[in-house]
Amino acid sequence: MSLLTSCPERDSTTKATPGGPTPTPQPAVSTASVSPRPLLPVLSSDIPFDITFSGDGSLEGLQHDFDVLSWNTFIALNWPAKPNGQPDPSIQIGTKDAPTVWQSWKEAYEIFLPGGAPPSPWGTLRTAPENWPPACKALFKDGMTLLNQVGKTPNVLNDSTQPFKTGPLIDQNGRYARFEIVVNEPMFDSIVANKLYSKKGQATASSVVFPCSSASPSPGNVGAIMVKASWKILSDEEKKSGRFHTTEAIVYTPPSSSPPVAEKCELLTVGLVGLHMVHKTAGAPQWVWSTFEHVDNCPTEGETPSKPRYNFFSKASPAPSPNEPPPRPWDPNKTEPSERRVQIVRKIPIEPAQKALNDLFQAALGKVNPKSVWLNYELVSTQWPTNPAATCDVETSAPVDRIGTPAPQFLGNSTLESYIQGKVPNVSSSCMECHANATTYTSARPSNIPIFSDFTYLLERAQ
Amino acid sequence: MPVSLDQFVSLSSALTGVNAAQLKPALDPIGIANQYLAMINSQASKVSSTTFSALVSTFEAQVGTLGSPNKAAAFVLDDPTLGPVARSIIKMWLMGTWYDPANPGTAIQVVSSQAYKESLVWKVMQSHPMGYSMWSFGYWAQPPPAFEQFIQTSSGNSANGAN
Amino acid sequence: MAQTKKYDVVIVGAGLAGSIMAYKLGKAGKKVLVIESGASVPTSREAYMEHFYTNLIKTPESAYPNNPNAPRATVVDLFNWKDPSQSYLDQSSSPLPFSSTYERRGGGTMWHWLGSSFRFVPNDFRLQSEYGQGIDWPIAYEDLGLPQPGRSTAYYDDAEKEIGVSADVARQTYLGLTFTPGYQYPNPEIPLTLTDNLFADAVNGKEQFEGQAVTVSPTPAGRNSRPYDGRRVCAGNTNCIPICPIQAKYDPTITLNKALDTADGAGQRNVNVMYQTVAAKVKLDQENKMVVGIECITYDNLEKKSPTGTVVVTGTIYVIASHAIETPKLLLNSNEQLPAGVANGSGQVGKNLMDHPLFLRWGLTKDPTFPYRGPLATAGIESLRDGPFRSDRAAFRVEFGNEGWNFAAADPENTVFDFVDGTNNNLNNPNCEKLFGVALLNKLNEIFTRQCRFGFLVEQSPEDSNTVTLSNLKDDLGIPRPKINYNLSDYTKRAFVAAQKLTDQVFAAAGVTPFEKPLAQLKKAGGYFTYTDPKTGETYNFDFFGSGHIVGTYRMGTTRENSVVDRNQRSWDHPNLFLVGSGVFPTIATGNPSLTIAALAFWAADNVLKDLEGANPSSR
Ligand SMILES: Cc1cc2nc3c(=O)[nH]c(=O)nc-3n(C[C@H](O)[C@H](O)[C@H](O)COP(=O)(O)OP(=O)(O)OC[C@H]3O[C@@H](n4cnc5c(N)ncnc54)[C@H](O)[C@@H]3O)c2cc1C
Ligand code: SF4
Repeated sequence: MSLLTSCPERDSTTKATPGGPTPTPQPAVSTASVSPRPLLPVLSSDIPFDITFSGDGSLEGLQHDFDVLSWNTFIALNWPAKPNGQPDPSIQIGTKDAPTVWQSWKEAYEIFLPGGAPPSPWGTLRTAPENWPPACKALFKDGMTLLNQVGKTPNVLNDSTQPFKTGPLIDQNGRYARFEIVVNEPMFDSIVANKLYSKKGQATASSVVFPCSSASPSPGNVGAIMVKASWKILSDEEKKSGRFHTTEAIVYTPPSSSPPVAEKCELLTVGLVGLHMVHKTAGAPQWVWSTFEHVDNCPTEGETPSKPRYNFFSKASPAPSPNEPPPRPWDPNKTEPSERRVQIVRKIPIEPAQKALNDLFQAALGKVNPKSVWLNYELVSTQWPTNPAATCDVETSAPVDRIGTPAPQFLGNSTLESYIQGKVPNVSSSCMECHANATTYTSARPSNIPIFSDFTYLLERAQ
Repeated sequence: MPVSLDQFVSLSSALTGVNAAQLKPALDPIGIANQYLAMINSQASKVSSTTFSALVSTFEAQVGTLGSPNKAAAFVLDDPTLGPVARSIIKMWLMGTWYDPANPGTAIQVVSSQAYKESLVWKVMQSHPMGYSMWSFGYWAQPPPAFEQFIQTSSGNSANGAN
Repeated sequence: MAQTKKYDVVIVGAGLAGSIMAYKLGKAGKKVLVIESGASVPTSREAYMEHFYTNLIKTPESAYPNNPNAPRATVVDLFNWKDPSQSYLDQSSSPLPFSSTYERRGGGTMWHWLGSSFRFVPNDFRLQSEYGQGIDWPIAYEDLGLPQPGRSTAYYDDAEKEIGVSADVARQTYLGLTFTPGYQYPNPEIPLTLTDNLFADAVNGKEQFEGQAVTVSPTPAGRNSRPYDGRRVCAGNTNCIPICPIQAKYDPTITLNKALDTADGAGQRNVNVMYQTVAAKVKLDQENKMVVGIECITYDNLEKKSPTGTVVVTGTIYVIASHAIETPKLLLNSNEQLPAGVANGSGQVGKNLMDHPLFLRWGLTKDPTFPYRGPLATAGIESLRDGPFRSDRAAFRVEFGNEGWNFAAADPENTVFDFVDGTNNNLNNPNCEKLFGVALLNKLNEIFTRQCRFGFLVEQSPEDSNTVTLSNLKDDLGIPRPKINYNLSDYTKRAFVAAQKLTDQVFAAAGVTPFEKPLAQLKKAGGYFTYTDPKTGETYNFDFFGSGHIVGTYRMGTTRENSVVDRNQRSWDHPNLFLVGSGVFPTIATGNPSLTIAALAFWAADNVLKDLEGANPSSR
């Protein structure tokens, strides 16, 4: 215990600086807006290890660098994948819509198995969950996408609603949006090596530290990455529209008695509507939180809805009150009538800097294929720590400012945090604030208390 | 001349004992110093711009005359007109609330929810704002990190204090 | 007058008791209508949190906007408690202030409960037969604490499961408490704070008080020590009162949502809630026997007086769950058919109002124990909740606060004032120093890191004269406001004397320097009173606060003469009327009430189901 005696005399010369190296000092003049670079960005299947410092150390300058990282990560993770999940260098992103790199990563259901069984090794093709009814198993083709969450985080109804039971997301066709969470190989390996996939294994863990990226030694390593995706079930018209990145998925609805929901699985075409990509980098041990959305999701509050139609917003009147889920009970198997479809608006507008960058990357994507589905996705923003932890072990090296004073303070995805998009500390959507509360189920610490899980709620699913 | 942010932060640092870089970090996504300055400049503060400017210019002049920000802070705090405003500024940094300089026990407003969250008193007690913890379950069973991890004191201020 | 369709059950109040009943009945396939006087449950906590952050006074109600259509008692009211123009409760002729408050909104008062979830000890149910004090309950500990015939779980087990209580059976087995064989609390115990351990180390196995061991035990808490029920683990926001930002703390909106999830085969929900609907009168049939409807006033604007009309809600069985001040008020206000009010054949409606008068003691520890961290309370002294002393003075439990002098002495604000302005509100600044800079920081750190406080929750005795009646003053909807008469008996006051002695003893053992308000300041406090010991002639000065535990105003009992409801919580007078909540408690007992409210609500739901399934409830 570090005791303080009464009226202590402090030695002002021995002050530890929390959070390690302070980012570059403020420049004398800070440029308010980012001037787009004359050259179009190069599209690459390489995941960036960290930001590329563009020389302007101001908040805006660094935000730009992180946004570029977000876009480059988006390009790399959505690169067409070979059957083994590796990016296929022989084709450019967007030439045609194809399965992406991240889609072959491990989904939560493959990691946290009944009875705490060890997950099958990296690279094993996805198989249907053991405890599935035969009818569902019959539909499942190994390696395909399985969507078993009607919400970003799981809850009592085995994954059925949005974060913290705030409500489901229902699109303008009346169908419930579905969600998945996958992790990359370094993160998966760390979970396996530290036996964090089971309660029993967690009971031997005294801390959780996922790997950070490293640029050297060459060729470098990416850090732990998690991806959360939201998908909507496409109508025939939407399938034909060419506006979505699509995939064939088994959409599985787990059964429940209260609310009464029947077990169901359907083979459907789903379209990507939201994508969180979170990378733990050497320079940002609190992870870099990048979030992208489909451009048709919803209008911004206070702006005139200009698109012909939106995924989660109706221009018809009277419209339901914005950002409110319909009354319970919720049944994801239903096609809900128009008055029960949600009316989502974006509360925090996308800033001009992000818009400019979006234009730039979309232009580059458009050069590959003017009809590329990726033209319909935009960066909302990137959250990053302005006071990053000194080492990859955030709990130890950032004991006071655990979340490293993130910028921007609030960031949400209208499909993933639809109902908490405000600006109130600790309750409105802020990736890091919310994930700072994430814990394991148990640990090796005294009384087996749940411990900080390095910003992921996934470990709570261990059985 | 309106008071600049830098002037306000220098004054605040001398008054509160907290390093200017902590009051106004180089990378500052929150901008709490800006909010506080705006609070004083607003009608609601009940502080005239003349008094506020006088506070800052007197402080700055006394730094030159007396040779240290600490002594200059003591000087303005002793001034019957400027002292109450200076004390409200100290309390604002500590509590996130603006108090009426003419009635020191009377709060005018919590500057903002951000200000509540950023108020320094919680750091002074080596804790977190009530209602805003970024730590994990069970942290309370262990002592907190050292005081120095929470507060960087201002240079030129002797550790044991006054004047 | 508009009338609803006839439901199986109408429930008034969507707090803890009402939500549990709605959930149980909805799950059993009954059609239920819940009437709730206040605002609906918000989708997100953002508005409440913003209200809290920017509120100048962080009272329990500070997160929740006032609603003139459904007013309630607040802590801020207590600043002028004698003045009914400032205080919702009309206490103009009360000897002492009734100091506990409640919320009127979906989810009820437990939006700002602390979470302490104690079982009552066996002797709490038989104060009269063991100690010749108060009155016995018509039920025993075993009725709630052990499975009743035909059930595998005890009602306390069900309540603990719903609330997700975190505790360890081994450390809760004291004073005769027993558990269902093999029972485990749903979540493990919450780690203690450094302050808790300071006191535990100083007294456990060492100190005796009036011949009994003084033992510090962990507090069973309705907050998650594990991810539970789809909610996060407590992050120690130290804010359970007024609001848990992350819903790690249980609140009844969780149960209410489960109730709203129940549905019939056609997918139609079983439970409906009408918000912004204030029950005003209970209507009886011609014989004044069966309840035939509840007349409610609706309104459409939460911010201003805005009545829109009346509606009569109807059902087969009626449950009133609007807490122990609004429930008796509603019964007494239903005086058109029966002048004494509905369910009041015994004359007991509104009588025996009780609270745990809360006696605060505070001090500075020798070394820093770093308060203002962790849940607001994690441990206390439970070993003195029962003993032979109960023949002579009231019992108490001692809660250790983890919020420094926040509650006791309005810190951190007051101490900041003291050392910036040179005042001495909190008595740490006798030389009236005015500090600034690093000296100020060091001084504040030295004080704040050593603050501790005890809260004694005293078991107040039931008194006929402590009442809720109808005031002549009305609220904005024209409904009479509650009028309170409240005092403390000598039996109750003697516990304060014991509490003071125990504080002196435990503080000395733990090296804590006590602080007290000077007499002049104490005399100005709302809860100021004196007690003179008849044996020694010594006079003591005290003040007290409320614990938020509003109890006793429609007691359960053994006969229709001595009580308002029977042991099944059914009105003696009106067989299709159930009254639930802490109003049924004959005595306030030595634990915080909500776990017992929940257990009794599970039981009442079973009784309602039996009545609904029985041929005709009126035949009972
Ligand atoms: C600060 C504080 C801390 C507390 N901490 C604890 C604790 O740690 N442990 C513990 O056990 N207990 C605690 N309590 C007590 C606890 O909050 C109550 O025991 C509990 O809320 C009572 O539940 P209830 O359902 O009976 O009433 P409530 O929760 O008050 O619900 C009653 C509902 O009825 C509605 N209503 C009222 N009048 C009408 C009407 N006329 N028409 C329609 N609806 C109406 C109200 O709007 C409300 O929603 C605390 C209380 C306070 C104030
Ligand atoms: S301590 Fe904080 S996080 Fe824990 S239950 Fe209380 S308010 Fe919620």
